[in-house]
Amino acid sequence: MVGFDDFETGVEGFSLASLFRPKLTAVAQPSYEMGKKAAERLLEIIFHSQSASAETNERVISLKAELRIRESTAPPCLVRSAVPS
Amino acid sequence: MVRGVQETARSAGHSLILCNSNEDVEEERRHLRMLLSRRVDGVLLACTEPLTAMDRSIRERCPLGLVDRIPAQGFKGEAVVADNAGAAYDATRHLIGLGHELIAIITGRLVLSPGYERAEGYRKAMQEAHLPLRGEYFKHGSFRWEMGYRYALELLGEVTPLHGHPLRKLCYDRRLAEGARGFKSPMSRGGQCGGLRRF
Repeated sequence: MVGFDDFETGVEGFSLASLFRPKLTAVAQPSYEMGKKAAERLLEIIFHSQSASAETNERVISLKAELRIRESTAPPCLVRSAVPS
Repeated sequence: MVRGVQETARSAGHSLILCNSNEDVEEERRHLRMLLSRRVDGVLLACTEPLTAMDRSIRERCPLGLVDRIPAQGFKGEAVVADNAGAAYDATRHLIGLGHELIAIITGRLVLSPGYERAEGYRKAMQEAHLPLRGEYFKHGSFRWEMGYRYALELLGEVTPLHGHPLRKLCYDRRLAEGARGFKSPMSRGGQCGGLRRF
């Protein structure tokens, strides 16, 4: 199982997914960065382009979200007949 | 995310007013009306509904930036998002690389970018590996955790008894993943068999 973990914070290295047993393989969302960048862009617009029209501020910034491989993913069971039914 | 916003705003001499609409579009509209009537300097919106994000009357009244989510189609404006498609592609490739073929996805609403793009990334990786895309392995609809739980139960019911194959599951969104984790797999008796082993 792979999940998206928006509690992963790059700053402190804390991750909710790594508290589970087995530790969860998860995509680390760049949540803090997203908030920071979004606020920076908004502040720029507030400070510098009060006279500019909305059309000049049309930019979608996409931040990389990284897959952190931990313990919850593994190859398939090799001996399928051994699975209790 | 909120901390990122707050620390940046504070260092620029601004304060943050935080409103949580909890996936409720009426609540979201009420918050926006309140914020606009109080003449805030700007609004950052993680939208519940594409229509709210596309509403030009908000942008005309104050600077608006979107964060985390944008409408899946036709959005023009200022936004900071995560590369959901790339991440979903990497995650699916990881499972394929381990040898899995029956891979299901649980994702959110397809009208918003995280739900839509995660589905797209998954689809691309599956198609590149020439693996079948089955309708019953594609669960989407909401970002609420109860849905993750329900979908996961459905997937286990559909997949494990019928085919006896291991199932790897992609659960996109923390709440969906938490929901999916909230129960034990019927195949949790040991061995690396079910995708939900020991949860």
